[in-house]
Amino acid sequence: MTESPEAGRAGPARPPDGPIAGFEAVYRANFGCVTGFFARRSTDPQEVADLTSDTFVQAIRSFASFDAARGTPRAWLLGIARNVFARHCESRTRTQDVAARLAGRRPIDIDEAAELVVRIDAERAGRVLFERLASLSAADREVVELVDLIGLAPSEAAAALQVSPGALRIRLFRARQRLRAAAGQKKGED
Amino acid sequence: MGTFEDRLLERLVQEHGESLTQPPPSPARGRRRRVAVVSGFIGVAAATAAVVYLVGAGTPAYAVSRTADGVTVRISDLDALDAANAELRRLGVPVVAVPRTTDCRETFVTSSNDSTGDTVADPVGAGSEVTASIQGLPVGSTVVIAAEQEGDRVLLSLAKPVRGKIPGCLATLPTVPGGSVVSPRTPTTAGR
Repeated sequence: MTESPEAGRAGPARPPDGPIAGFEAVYRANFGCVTGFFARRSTDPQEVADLTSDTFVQAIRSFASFDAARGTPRAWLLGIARNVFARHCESRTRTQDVAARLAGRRPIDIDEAAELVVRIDAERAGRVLFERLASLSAADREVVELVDLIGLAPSEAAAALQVSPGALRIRLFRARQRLRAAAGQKKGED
Repeated sequence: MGTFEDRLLERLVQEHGESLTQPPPSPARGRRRRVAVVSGFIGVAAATAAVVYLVGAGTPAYAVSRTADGVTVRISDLDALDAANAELRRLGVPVVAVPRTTDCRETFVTSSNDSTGDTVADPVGAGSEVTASIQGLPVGSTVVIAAEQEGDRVLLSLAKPVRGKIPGCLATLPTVPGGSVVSPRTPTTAGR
């Protein structure tokens, strides 16, 4: 489940042969990482498709201002994905009406759904692991996911979460401590 | 290369490709504003206080207020460290709060004796609030506040000022049963 560290570095910071080629390189290198992020949170192909689309729409709109000195493309994209998902949860709470929620979304066809189902299935183990982190706060869970599940370097995760490396370290340390304590408690109960 | 992946890229380029060729917004404005705030503070030295609450929390996440010769900092949630530091920067005071962790490997130079390391905080005076004096602080030095989670509260303690690079964290002092603190490590190893 830990994704290749190269994934985030594969996309060039600035396109060598035009901005479209540069964006495509970042897109191709990180598409799996972004869909995986959402497939750990939803088993609905349409929802994964919508959230992935929203993330890359924001990414292409702000690609010109992406600064490689402030983090890798992967950390940048996961930061966007995180915000997209937070807003999605917020609107889902506000809008219970499915029809209203789906308005304006492009429905995916059978082929696309099949492709996303494969990706969602591939994340099954990651989803189980992610659910096991339920004892942690949302903030702590995110840190463990980015560093221990996706394989981001702590500095990359700090960039994705828009916190300082120091704050990230303390959050990671605290989250791992709590996980260890929870695992110990469960072992004791067994 | 999948169907959805390809089609999404195609649509992105078709519908939003133009934005790739537009120049990015200039970040210069924010920088100029920050400099202006700092300069204004030095000239006027106005008393300022900031108190920020976490959403849904009853106690302030952090509070920063100016004193006659420095600043008083209170932090009740480690997640508020960044915000507290932003406020300290806004006030223009050379004070920074960093987390204290056992696995910290940061290196730094203290301003008092130019030795590497040994800026371990005095845990005796640790509390939820610290007051840092910046009077007589050498130019280029920064007062470091170590913040550590202890149960439900955050303990803050003052460390020696550092010169140059500011550490992102400080090492936790080993404690002995009963809560007393083992002597700080030697200047060359503390706060790795």
